[in-house]
Amino acid sequence: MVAILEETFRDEWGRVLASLIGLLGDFDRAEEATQEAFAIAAERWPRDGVPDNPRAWLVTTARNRALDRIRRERTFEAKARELGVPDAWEDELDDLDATTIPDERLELVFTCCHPALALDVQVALTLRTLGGLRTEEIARAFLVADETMAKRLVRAKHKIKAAGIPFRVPPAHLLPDRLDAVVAVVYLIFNEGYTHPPTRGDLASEAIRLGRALAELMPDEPEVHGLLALMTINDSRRTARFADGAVVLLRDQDRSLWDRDQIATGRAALERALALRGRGSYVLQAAIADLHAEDPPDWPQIAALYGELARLTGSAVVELNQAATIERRATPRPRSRWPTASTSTATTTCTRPVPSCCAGSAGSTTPAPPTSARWRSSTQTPSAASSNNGWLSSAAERRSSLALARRVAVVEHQVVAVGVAEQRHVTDAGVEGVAGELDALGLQLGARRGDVVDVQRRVRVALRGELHPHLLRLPDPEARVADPELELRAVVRPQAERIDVEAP
Amino acid sequence: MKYMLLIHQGDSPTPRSPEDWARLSEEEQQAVFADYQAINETPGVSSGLQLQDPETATTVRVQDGRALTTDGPFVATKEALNGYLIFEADDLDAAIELAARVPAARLGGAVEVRPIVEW
Repeated sequence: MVAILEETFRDEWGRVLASLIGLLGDFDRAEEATQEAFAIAAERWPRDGVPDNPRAWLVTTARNRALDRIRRERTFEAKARELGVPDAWEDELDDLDATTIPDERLELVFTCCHPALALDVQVALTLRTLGGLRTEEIARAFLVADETMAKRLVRAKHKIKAAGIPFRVPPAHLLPDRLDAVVAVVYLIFNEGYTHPPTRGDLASEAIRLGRALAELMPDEPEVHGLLALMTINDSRRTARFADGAVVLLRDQDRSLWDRDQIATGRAALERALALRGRGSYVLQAAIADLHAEDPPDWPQIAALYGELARLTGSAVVELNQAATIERRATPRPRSRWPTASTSTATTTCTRPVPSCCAGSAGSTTPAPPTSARWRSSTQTPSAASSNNGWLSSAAERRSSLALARRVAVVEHQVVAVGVAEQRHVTDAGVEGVAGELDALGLQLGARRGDVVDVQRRVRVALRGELHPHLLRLPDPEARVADPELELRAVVRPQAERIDVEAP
Repeated sequence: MKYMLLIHQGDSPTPRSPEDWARLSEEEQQAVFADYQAINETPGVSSGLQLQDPETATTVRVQDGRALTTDGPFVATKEALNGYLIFEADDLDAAIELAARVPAARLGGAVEVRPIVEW
């Protein structure tokens, strides 16, 4: 019974809460009433059995409780007018069935992802209201204390009410801007479920449901279809991804466990996105996930797509994935159809020799001021050299490419984790210390000056608190690289590892 | 709902500083006037007032029963309020849209949207 209740809670929380907010126009009141309804269910259902329509039962009960509460406050008449509760409302309660309860979760998600709320608040609020996560679960994901998260949610709900953030799907002229945030938040919810399937698998399904609803609502929005495709294709491997509680790398997965229907659904969504000329980050990621489903995967195309994604997002993690893809190409499995000819445009440059004695100790040394002659003169960094259509030809270049990408991701992860853990009260000196480390690191690895500056800029932004939601929940660096290319875990080592760079 | 839109000029050029104001083309200058006029004529907008420069401000504190005055605004001059208007709107989205039309917001300043407490 507890399991049924738990399942119902997961399934229905968002919908019931959204209905109550739509009715009452008040987050706190709605949440209170919804919580009460679930508490009554926990008491009665084990005794009386689960009602035929749990959702209608929960909404009705929550509405009744809210009504009781409003009455008790003795200002019911005034409140009812103020809240826009129709006079005949009470009579309708008996007639409630599931078909009369509109799905108002889209209104809810657009409200939670309103730009007047800080990004981390948007994510937390959506996880709380739609995902049905408990405050302490969200706190864990954010690496903050429970109390801090609780206060953050209270402040957010207060702002929604006091500042008049509307509970609605935005009008057409506001939609594109609002959509980006919603898409990012939905994908985050998906990953919450996808990376913890035994306990949070429902969230992945919930995110896919939300994604489908978004796709129906905005059929001409390629990124929404891209998001749906990405989530569905990844989710098709859910069963195959875990064995005995451990992650199974993509290449070791039992492909017969993959859900072919889901792959087909995901591909249809991807085709729709491409037909709409979608070339955004979700469409690209979906295309990459789709290519991984083939046997053997088309590595050159995957690497090219990563190149495009890296240019679009400027993400070190994407560069890391791309470097790892190149690594895969360098160590082919038998029977694979590897491309044989190098089409590199970056093969004429050599990496600057690096004495191995100073490699991997960047954090403790102060580099000599870099001069232009000491930096790579190539127009491409090692890690980005394979974007476009090129391949790295020399083993040394491959190594240094991978090493740089690894170190950048590791350093970035460390500073982000520190920043989040300390609630981003990072001093300027701390920020500059990290920037200095990156400078030394880039110098050692022969990276192009401009790219190091670019990474420094990203790290500064991350440290100073303007984090992209994807960066907010990072228990370990592997998580950054987890999806959809789990096989990359084989290449990416934990953060503590020293990465030594050999001279070519 | 009622909102107060607090207009901070920041670095944006205004006619009070002819040198800065001259950075704008004549067309841009006309657009600034036209935009403020259009905002003042927007239904729901009232009490739109422009303040004299922050340099003209006098800040008053009371200590031990005595009024102490200091020359200048309470906050840093650059962050000081330059004007405000009241806007009665359905929701925050409408207030944000109006705020985005305030020329200061696009010329280096900013507009803070604050809901007004209603009893």
